[in-house]
Amino acid sequence: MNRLVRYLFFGLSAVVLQTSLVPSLSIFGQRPDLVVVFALIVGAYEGSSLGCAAGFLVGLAVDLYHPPTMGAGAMAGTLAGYLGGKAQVFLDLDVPLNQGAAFAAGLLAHDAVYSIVASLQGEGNMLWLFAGRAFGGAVYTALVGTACLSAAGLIRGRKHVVDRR
Amino acid sequence: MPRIRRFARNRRDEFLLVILLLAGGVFASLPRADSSRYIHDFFARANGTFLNTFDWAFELGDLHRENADLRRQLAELSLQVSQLQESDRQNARLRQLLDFEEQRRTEVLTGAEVIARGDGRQQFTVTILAGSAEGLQKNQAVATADGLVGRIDRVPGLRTAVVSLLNDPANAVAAVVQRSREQGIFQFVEGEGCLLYVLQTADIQVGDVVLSSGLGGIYPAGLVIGTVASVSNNTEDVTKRVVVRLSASLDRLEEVFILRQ
Repeated sequence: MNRLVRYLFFGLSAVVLQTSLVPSLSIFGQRPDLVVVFALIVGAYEGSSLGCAAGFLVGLAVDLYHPPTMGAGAMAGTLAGYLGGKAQVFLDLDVPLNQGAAFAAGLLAHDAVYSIVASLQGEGNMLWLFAGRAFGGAVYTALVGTACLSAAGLIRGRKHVVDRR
Repeated sequence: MPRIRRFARNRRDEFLLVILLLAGGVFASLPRADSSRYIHDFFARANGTFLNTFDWAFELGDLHRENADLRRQLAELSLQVSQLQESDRQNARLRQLLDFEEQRRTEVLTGAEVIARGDGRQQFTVTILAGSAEGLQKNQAVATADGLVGRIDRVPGLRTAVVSLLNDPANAVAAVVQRSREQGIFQFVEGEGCLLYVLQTADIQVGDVVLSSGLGGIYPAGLVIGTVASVSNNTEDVTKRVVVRLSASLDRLEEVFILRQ
């Protein structure tokens, strides 16, 4: 229960920060995606199933904030959460490079799904936007995600993600 | 069916992934529900609150600086107040030592509406709607927000009084130039307001403000009479001719205040 409340709090914070603070942190139009970071971390700590659920919910929350792409964020978030569970080994705290790579890959997968669904929803050709922004965003998200993962490790008081199992 | 169940058990993660992706697809294909507006509003409000808090946090530094400035200003003003209070007390002590009479305070007795102009003579008087019932007495000063206009000439009724205006040549006001403290008598001469009995050596310039000096006992000190419009320095005369433009417009009086000392 305690864990659920904690994840709920961090998930809600990720959505609020993503839609409020993050746009002002953009560098050359590139911005991190905290929703992806959250889904990946939940997936890494709790496994793919819970990662999927967490990614779905936070993605849906972002969709509700931007109704024209309803569902796109939920699907992309679900995939990110799933990948977080599968990338537990890469997200091990001892190797920041691996963590960064996992976050970057998660963001690319997330953005690819999001762009495809949003394009199908008539939001214009989002794939071009994906091609132009995804790599910078992936690097930025990798940096932020690695920092968040370190912070999550400190909060949990455990050094290794994979130690949980 | 058992095969699906087995797949769901063995491949729980993938099964959930597919289910949730399908659910996302359903959301994507749904028409935009109006109910989502409430959730959108909730996040918008949460964002607004968050950003306000964030701004507030950033403004804390400015607030600290502003607070420090205000504290410094407060300290300076407190010092000034304390010095002024000390001066006031010193002034009172010195007055007491020199046996000075306490300066009389002026206050507004009442306001009155102008109901008539002239009094059989020229436009030197106005009649106001206030009289002995309001406590008006002869020779009380009459002014507007712009400055002095005259004095009560007589109080013929309970609710009426006649005001002798400054443009009446029979009226004279002891005056002082605010800047240089040069003294004289303000009086209308040949249709012009003049400051009389001012020596050639007096320091008076165009634009100087002329106030009542309080001498004579009729007009309280410090009331604005007007500003110096021209100064003629004819060396053959003993005194200067100083023309003063009245601050109050005597032609357009509608309401006046009667002052009491």
